[in-house]
Amino acid sequence: MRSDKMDCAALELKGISKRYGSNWAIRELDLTVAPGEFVTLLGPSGCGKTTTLSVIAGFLEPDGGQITLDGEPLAGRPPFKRDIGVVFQDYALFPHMTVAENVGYGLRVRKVPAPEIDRRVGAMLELVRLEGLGGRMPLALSGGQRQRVALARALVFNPKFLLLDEPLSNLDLKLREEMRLEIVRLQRQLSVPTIFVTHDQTEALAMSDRIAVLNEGRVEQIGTPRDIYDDPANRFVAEFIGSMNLLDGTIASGVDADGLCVVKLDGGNTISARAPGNFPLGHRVCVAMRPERCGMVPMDRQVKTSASHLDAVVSHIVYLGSRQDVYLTLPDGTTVVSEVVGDIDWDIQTGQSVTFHCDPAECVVLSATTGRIANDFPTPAAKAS
Amino acid sequence: MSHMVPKPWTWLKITVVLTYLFMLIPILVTVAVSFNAGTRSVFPPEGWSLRWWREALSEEWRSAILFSLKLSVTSAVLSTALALPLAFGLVRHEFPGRKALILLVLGPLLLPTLATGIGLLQVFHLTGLFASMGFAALLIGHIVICVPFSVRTISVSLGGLPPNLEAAAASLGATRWRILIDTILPLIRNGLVAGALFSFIHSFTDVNLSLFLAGPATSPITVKILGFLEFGFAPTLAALSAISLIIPLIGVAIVQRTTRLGDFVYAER
Repeated sequence: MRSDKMDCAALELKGISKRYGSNWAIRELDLTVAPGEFVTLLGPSGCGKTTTLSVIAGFLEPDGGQITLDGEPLAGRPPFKRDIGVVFQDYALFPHMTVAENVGYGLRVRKVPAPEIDRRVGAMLELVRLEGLGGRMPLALSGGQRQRVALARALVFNPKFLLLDEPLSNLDLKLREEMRLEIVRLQRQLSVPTIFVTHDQTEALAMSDRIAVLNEGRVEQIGTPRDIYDDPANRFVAEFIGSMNLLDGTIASGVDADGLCVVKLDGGNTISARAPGNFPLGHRVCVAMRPERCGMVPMDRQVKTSASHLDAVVSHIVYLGSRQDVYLTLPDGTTVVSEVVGDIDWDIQTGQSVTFHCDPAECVVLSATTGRIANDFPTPAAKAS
Repeated sequence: MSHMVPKPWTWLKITVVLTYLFMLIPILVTVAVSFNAGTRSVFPPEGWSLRWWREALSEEWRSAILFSLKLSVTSAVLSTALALPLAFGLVRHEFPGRKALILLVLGPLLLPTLATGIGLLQVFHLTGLFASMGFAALLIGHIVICVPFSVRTISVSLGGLPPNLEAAAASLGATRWRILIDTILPLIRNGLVAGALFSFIHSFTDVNLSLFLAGPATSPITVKILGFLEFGFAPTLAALSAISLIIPLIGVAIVQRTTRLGDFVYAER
């Protein structure tokens, strides 16, 4: 095999668009999946993630753009010639075939000899931990077992690519967590490049090598789970992944040597925050802070001077066992949350005046609109490269 | 006295029993009359005998029954074969004129078969082929009135298929043809069987349409019975009625063993 073939992406989408009437389901979508990589398409319903999946599988023809799989263009190739395994949300098992017949179907239509089908189906059932259930009918299985059959069926013919369309959403919480690990284990073991579609951010964070956050048919951000969580590209991503305190304001200073700038909040205070781009003075922004990285102390206690801090009043406290969520109201009426793990070492009371604080490095400046600010206002370093 | 008023269930039971009696008494009377020993059709029968059944199974009537069977089995098979692609198009695809086509397909179900019969007769005469059509004329007419039944039952079956089944089969490497053979046909089997059965019954018991399209050599049993009525209601007719009742019932009994016909009669899941 030529070495450049090894380096090339397993799957590449270039400028893919799909329109229903006058609505763009996906618009100019670019996405690359490396060999063996697990990429999640994450977004709210109607963001175009399932359409993207259907276009890759060949169930829908895109209105524009290009898809290549292992370097070969897929345009005009029907689904049955694509060698892409698909697991559907409702599993779509054949109800009139046994588990073994379901799993072996992809081999049967490829005219693999019967003894080899038996051998490979047996091995696959073992891999998904369903050994001995080959003779059952799908309706006699539990949800989790059906899920495993669907996975086995999509993987047994060694597909070039695997597509998973919200495969966990019909399972209860406990099973879902178990299947998460199971799917990742299988995917790693078989090293099949995979796109996983979900609206569940926890799943996306837990399973993916990279996450592509989709909104209204466009990619808002692509990155590792850590990138997406720590450095959301814009307000949409910040709000969609995890919970986030967002404070509106305007840029009041240039970026200093530590990458920090001053933001004048609409409430009147100024805080110092990390700027991923070089914003012009007066630009409308919002400052995003993860609740678990925000703290509060009684008014009379000193906060570290470098911390960004604001006066606030405790509005209510939610006890959640492993942590407590403290809701605070700022003088301008905005609500912010501080998640505290374990006990609070002072006597916190509803109605109490406190100082809300956060390390400036944990406060991220985002453009108030969607779109990638880092691209619109690149830092000098990014410009140079 | 309010405690004397029967409970609602009692009234329901009474209503059901009365309804069944109303529907079944004429049939039971007819069957009883066919075993009559006398020459007149009277109830209660004047003694018991099988002479009218022997009469009904004579060569003349037997050929008419066989002709009817041939006609209705052929129409059932052909109308179901025709209904399959039709139902597919109507259930799966959105196209201009879809609503009109639905009406057109179900039309014969809503129109009196009498009207369909007159219409077909005129068309056949216009083409000038009617004289030479014979069996074909009847067959075409019966297919027209049977197709709606098959389209209905097959549509119900198709509508009940899980949505992603075909996509799943396609992603596994199955061509359209294999998807049809491996997945769709086995899963809509009940709809096909039920459609064929309803078509068979409808064709076998049809009088109105056949009346217009039948010829001397091509007369289904129903038309023959009607013609025979001119000579009065002989007990032979009672036996023949019983036979033309039993044949569809046998069909239902056979199919009911494998297919839940009720799903298609009362239907809508």
